[in-house]
Amino acid sequence: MNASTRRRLTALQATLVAALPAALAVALSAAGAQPPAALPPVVVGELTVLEETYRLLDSTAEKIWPGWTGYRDVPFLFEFENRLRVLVGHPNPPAPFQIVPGLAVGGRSVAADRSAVTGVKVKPFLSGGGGPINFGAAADGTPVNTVHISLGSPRAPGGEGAEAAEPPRTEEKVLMYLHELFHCFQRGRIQPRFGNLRFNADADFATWSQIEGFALERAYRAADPAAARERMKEFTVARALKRQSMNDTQRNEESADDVREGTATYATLRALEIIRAGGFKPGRSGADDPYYRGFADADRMIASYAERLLKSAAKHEDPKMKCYDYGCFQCALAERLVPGWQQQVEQGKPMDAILAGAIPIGEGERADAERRLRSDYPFEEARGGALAFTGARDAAYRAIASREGRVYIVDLKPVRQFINTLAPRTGAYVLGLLTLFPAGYPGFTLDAVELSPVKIPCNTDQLYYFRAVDTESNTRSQAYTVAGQRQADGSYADAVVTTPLFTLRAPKLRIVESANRVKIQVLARVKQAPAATGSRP
Amino acid sequence: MTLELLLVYLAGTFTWPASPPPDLHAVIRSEFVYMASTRTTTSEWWASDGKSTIRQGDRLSITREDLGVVWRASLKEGTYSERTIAPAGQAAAPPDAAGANVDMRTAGYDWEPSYEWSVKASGQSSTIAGRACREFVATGDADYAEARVSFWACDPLPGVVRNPNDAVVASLASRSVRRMILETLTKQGGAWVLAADEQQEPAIAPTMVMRVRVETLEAGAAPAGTFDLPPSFKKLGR
Repeated sequence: MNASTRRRLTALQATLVAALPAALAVALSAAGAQPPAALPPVVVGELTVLEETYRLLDSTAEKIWPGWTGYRDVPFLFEFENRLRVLVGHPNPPAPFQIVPGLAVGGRSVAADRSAVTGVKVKPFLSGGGGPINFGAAADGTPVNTVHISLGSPRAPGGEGAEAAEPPRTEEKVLMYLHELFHCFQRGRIQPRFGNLRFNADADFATWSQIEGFALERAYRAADPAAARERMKEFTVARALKRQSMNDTQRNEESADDVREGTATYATLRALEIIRAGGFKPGRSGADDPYYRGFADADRMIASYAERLLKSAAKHEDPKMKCYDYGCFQCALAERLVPGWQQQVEQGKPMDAILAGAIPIGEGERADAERRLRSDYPFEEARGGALAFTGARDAAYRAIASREGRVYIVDLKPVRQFINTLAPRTGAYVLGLLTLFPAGYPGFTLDAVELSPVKIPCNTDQLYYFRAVDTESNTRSQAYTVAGQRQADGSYADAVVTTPLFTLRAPKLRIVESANRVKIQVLARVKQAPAATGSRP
Repeated sequence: MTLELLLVYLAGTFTWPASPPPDLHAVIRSEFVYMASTRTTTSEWWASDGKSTIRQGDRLSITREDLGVVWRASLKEGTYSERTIAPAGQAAAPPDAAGANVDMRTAGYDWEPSYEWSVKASGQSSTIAGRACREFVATGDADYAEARVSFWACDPLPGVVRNPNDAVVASLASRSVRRMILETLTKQGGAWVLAADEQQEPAIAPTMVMRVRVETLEAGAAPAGTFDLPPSFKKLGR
């Protein structure tokens, strides 16, 4: 959809809503229903990014992966920060979604669910993430494979998902949608048999994982195929050394993650290479979208993939996340060195096995490769960093896990807010789904919600929750005090909860207290507008 | 005369030779409601002394406590995998909450809700699969999750050694829910659970609803081979 089409559709929606025949309006009113309203321009603008993704895929999909078609048939579910949900192209939108009249994306209908919309402001630039889910069912009851995307405002610098120093750009969203559509293409075609890796690095793993990433990057940069093959032997040996800490299942899970996320990330890298070669004409411009430059800096974006690989290599927390970069570059190397590699992936072989099979290492070579990994790479530096990281992380875990006393939990799930995007994580350590703050938590502000800094070792957990333990609770007469307007359902409006560890303000919250736990559920992040008075027609 | 009455009659009539207790058969229907779609499955379950089998579509699981193994088979593929099971009554070691002996390579991943339960009889009664049942309602609160469960505690079939409880609660989401139901049944004099609804607000995912109900319940002799793998099946793995 170009700018004029978008404007035309927006105008059409407004016209349709304003000019509904009187008889229809009366009928709707009599039935107690309301005609679905047009979507806000910021939301319609977001949907047009999907149009650009389709346009890019029309030019690149078959070149990215032979046989990749059908991407326009996959529905999208967009979830905005104000809880507005928009479905594009769903064959059977479930209640309470309603078709938005006169609006289409890629020729497919759009439906909206406004049933839980809050007063949170939705304004550009929106960024986000998501993945494929089954959402709703077709008329025959079959679950519908749908791309689910959550879009929100940029977050605290240093928080999870914050893009330091990178200006926001729509190109990243186009590539994100392409990535998720590739996941949908994988279904039934590229299906590793193992689940997701759930593994924290120990010092050996962290060391060899970093060296392995460096070897992969050197292979990618190698000037000729022979040099690339030598570096890939080093990658294979480093991976084997790294995997001595893992059991068979974990090894297979890591390779499976490389396939799942690596091929989808590679799809975006390949798309950029095709764009750079002149294989794509943007359908929208900066005039339509100030954050879009039509991939004018494709070169720079391609370069950023290799930079990300090096950063990923040096990062010891959450090894699963390396699969995006490590998997992507295994694909890129396989494309260069192993003809027919994509068919092998479709037959169930992970890229690391494909590369190791195509570039065998002789008996004598293995020891030589390990010697080079220790001498030609910054092995000692990597080892020192890994030991320091794992030592500090494990100490943080033990300091927090050993705290006994009353537990305080702040629950942001009712407002669907990932907690790790809200505060800088300086000095924090990730362990599984925990983020450990051994020196205390900096607190956050989210619209009208404020959590004060917390000065004791504490953690976040399970995406939505902050947790702290008061080790002196047995000396206190009260677990907390609360000020605010108590509601009939037991919640509080305009509430301030004061505990010995922190103060929390929220427009609406509920406190669930048990013998040794105080759970504070944040129910709203902005004040709700007072209910409209007077009668509706 | 129903099969059940016949069994009661036979049990009362003959004292010698001691006939083995009848096997138990149930057809269990379950629903999983998630993200605006409902997945329905029907399972056929048989249990005998020290053995049970459950078939769901082309998947078959046979538990042989007498042999210390569980086989999981694909009827479509003609293959199976085997794992050994711990001797009965041997409980797993409790988790190390203080973190002194935790395997740091896997720490922080496996949070499982441990609900604090409030369980009450609702006063409702009903008949499920021919058995008289009383409803219980429970609410549970955990650090990062909440659950509301209703379940029906029912009169057992007389003369049957096995009960269907494990097979019924297996469809529910969390261990804490299953444990709470089984403990309540014990307090109710060994009642059987023949239906349950669990609504869970999990830590990360959107609301999930699990419903399970026994459609058919009968005592009798399992068909020959019910607790054995078909001989042509091939074992997976090394």
